[in-house]
Amino acid sequence: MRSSHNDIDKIEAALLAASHQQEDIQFPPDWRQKVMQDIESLAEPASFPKEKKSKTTVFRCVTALAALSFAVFAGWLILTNMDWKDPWLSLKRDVTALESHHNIWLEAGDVDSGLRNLTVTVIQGALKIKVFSKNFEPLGGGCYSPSDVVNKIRIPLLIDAKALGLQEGEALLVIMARDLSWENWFQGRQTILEQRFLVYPDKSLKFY
Amino acid sequence: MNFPNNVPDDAAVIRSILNGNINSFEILMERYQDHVSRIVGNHIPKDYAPEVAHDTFVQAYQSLRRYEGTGLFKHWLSKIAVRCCYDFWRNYYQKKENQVFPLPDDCRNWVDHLLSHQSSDGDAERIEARNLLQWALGQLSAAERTVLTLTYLNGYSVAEAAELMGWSVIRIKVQSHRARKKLRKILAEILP
Repeated sequence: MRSSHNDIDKIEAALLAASHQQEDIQFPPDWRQKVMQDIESLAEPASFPKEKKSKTTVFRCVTALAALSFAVFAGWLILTNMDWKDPWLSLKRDVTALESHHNIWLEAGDVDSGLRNLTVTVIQGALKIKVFSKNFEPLGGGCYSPSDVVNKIRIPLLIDAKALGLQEGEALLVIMARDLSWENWFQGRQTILEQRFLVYPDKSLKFY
Repeated sequence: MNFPNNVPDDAAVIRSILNGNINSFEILMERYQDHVSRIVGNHIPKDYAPEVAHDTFVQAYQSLRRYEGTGLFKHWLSKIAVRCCYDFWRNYYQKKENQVFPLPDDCRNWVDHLLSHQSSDGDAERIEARNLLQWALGQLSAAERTVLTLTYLNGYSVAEAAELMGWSVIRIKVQSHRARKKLRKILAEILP
């Protein structure tokens, strides 16, 4: 194997040496005239390099300006649609008396982009009941004015254990809010509030 | 052709050509014919070299308005010459009649002779070495052949070869490495 490598090295070296000894090229006597004839048959170079350059420069400037405008627009669009705070949720309970149904106040909001949707679900074992769901997304796709968005909402939430078919025992109230930002692949930032409560034999509720 | 100096520089000649004095192009041809034939001669068999040199000057004339005068005209012309050589090989390999021919017996004898530690200085042997080189290069692709000739046979750096070919340095490195490996494999196959 070693000798094979040495042999190839030797052949290569000899070929390299041979390639350096270039043969003289014999140009036909009328070679230059033929080149000139070909050149004369061609269209003349149409313009000066400067003119060409100026056209190129204008094109480059327009392209750069368009790219810059696009970058500014894209930056503005992203900045205005990405917010930095999650939506907030607050449960104002009124549980002075345990009745068969409870009226509680729910407050939700988002300081940056506004609320997209709000859902309230009651879960007991395998039972999952959506008791409230509302979409606050303004009409018109992504084009809406700041006055169209809902930044804060306060709603009364009626949970009737009997009507919902809840059984005696522990249950879970899950409140979920999403905002209008582009976070999470355009789904918006999300906040979840969970509240455990007990359903009494008479189907009244007790939050704890 | 009225130039203010007796020996006009390249920029003045080019301005004159672009002004419509096509005959001024002959000055550039006279000035750079040797340079172009040296480059072409390194890449192309001598029988085809005048044809490729011809193409080089015609292409230089056609692209003259794109020469911005920022570098030497000689360099600019060298790039065109190398690219004409590359185009020549691309066209050459595309033709079916230009298939790889078998290794001539005298080349095989030259290899035997070389490996038996005998002298190889004779003119006839140099011709055989060149024939063997052409035969081996003929089995590479046009790109590999042109890059290998530039980097290995002509001793250009990778950066210089990249500039001449108008390719990236990485592409030249890859082609050069691949071509050298292929060349050694081809030579290994003819070992006695």
